[in-house]
Amino acid sequence: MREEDELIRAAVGGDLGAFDELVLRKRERVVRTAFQVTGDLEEARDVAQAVFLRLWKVLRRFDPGRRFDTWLYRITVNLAIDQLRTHGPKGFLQPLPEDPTALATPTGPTPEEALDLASLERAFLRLAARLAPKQRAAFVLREIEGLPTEEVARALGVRESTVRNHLHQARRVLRAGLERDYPALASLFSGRRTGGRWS
Amino acid sequence: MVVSGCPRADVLAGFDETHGAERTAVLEHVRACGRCREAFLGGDPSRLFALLALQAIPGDVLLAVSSGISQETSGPVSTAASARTGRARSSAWAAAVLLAVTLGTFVFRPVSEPTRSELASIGGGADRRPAAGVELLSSPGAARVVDLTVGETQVVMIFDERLGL
Repeated sequence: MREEDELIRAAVGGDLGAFDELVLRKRERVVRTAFQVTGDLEEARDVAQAVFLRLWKVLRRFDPGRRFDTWLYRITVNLAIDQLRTHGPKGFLQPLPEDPTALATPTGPTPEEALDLASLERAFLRLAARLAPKQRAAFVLREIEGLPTEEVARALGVRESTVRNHLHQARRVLRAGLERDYPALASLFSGRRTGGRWS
Repeated sequence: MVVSGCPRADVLAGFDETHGAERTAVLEHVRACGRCREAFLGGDPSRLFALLALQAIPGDVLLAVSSGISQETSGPVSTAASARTGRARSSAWAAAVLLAVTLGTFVFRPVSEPTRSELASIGGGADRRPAAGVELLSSPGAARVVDLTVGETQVVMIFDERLGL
């Protein structure tokens, strides 16, 4: 398997095969990010296609001194935020289809004991609809995708202090929403078990 | 439920600094282990949403993304981007030509072009003067050259029946 730096260099040089390999490696992360920002899987798919087509178009301008992933995230969140602003938050009643293998492995905990990701997704999409687009994007990049704050700032084109402010606001809204609308979940993280899945 | 192999407390506390496979492994464990989950959340339930990084995107969606991109990037003339660029260039050329024609009409409009009868009179009547801005360069005869000059714009017309001009 080729190293990522080598793939990027080849793709920048116009190697379509290398670009296809990059798409394969990055597409899930791009779709997931777009999905968490827009709240709609079909829109996320469209955003992802637009992201990679734009990437192919402007790849020759990529500065090797910069981080490729940050650049990719920047394109992704910009297009996803545009989509969100155009169509509004939606999809909170239609989370990702459940993947049975993601809920529990044969040797792992039962679904009742593990956190149900589909339910968690549903809660997030419903509560995140109350966030401003950039607050939502900052939360997705920092908390779900795990980017450092400075990279989130570069991806969003804002200062780090602005990112911290966005994150503070987003956490406050999500925390309040969880405690108000999902009390069963509160028992899970506070150690008070209620048994069964939460909704 | 507490599963075996719980990560050290400092790993959970420093979760924000973890990346890649290590981050995924911690999340997988936190998802399954109630005790570590409590430590991981540290009193902020919104951190629970970090687990959404484990959510798998359906394969058909990923496939649709790849196939859509392949259709657009492969083939010599099939890229939407190049098609859009080509259309933009064509539009720019068409606009430039239209502008040139419009300006050309505007520039030439003030010039009073002689009618056929005027040209005939220019060539035939020695006692009649040509119209303003029209200069008869050749003497009346088989071939006639008419110079229409206004400012820096010059149009030279040649009339010769023998040559069909």
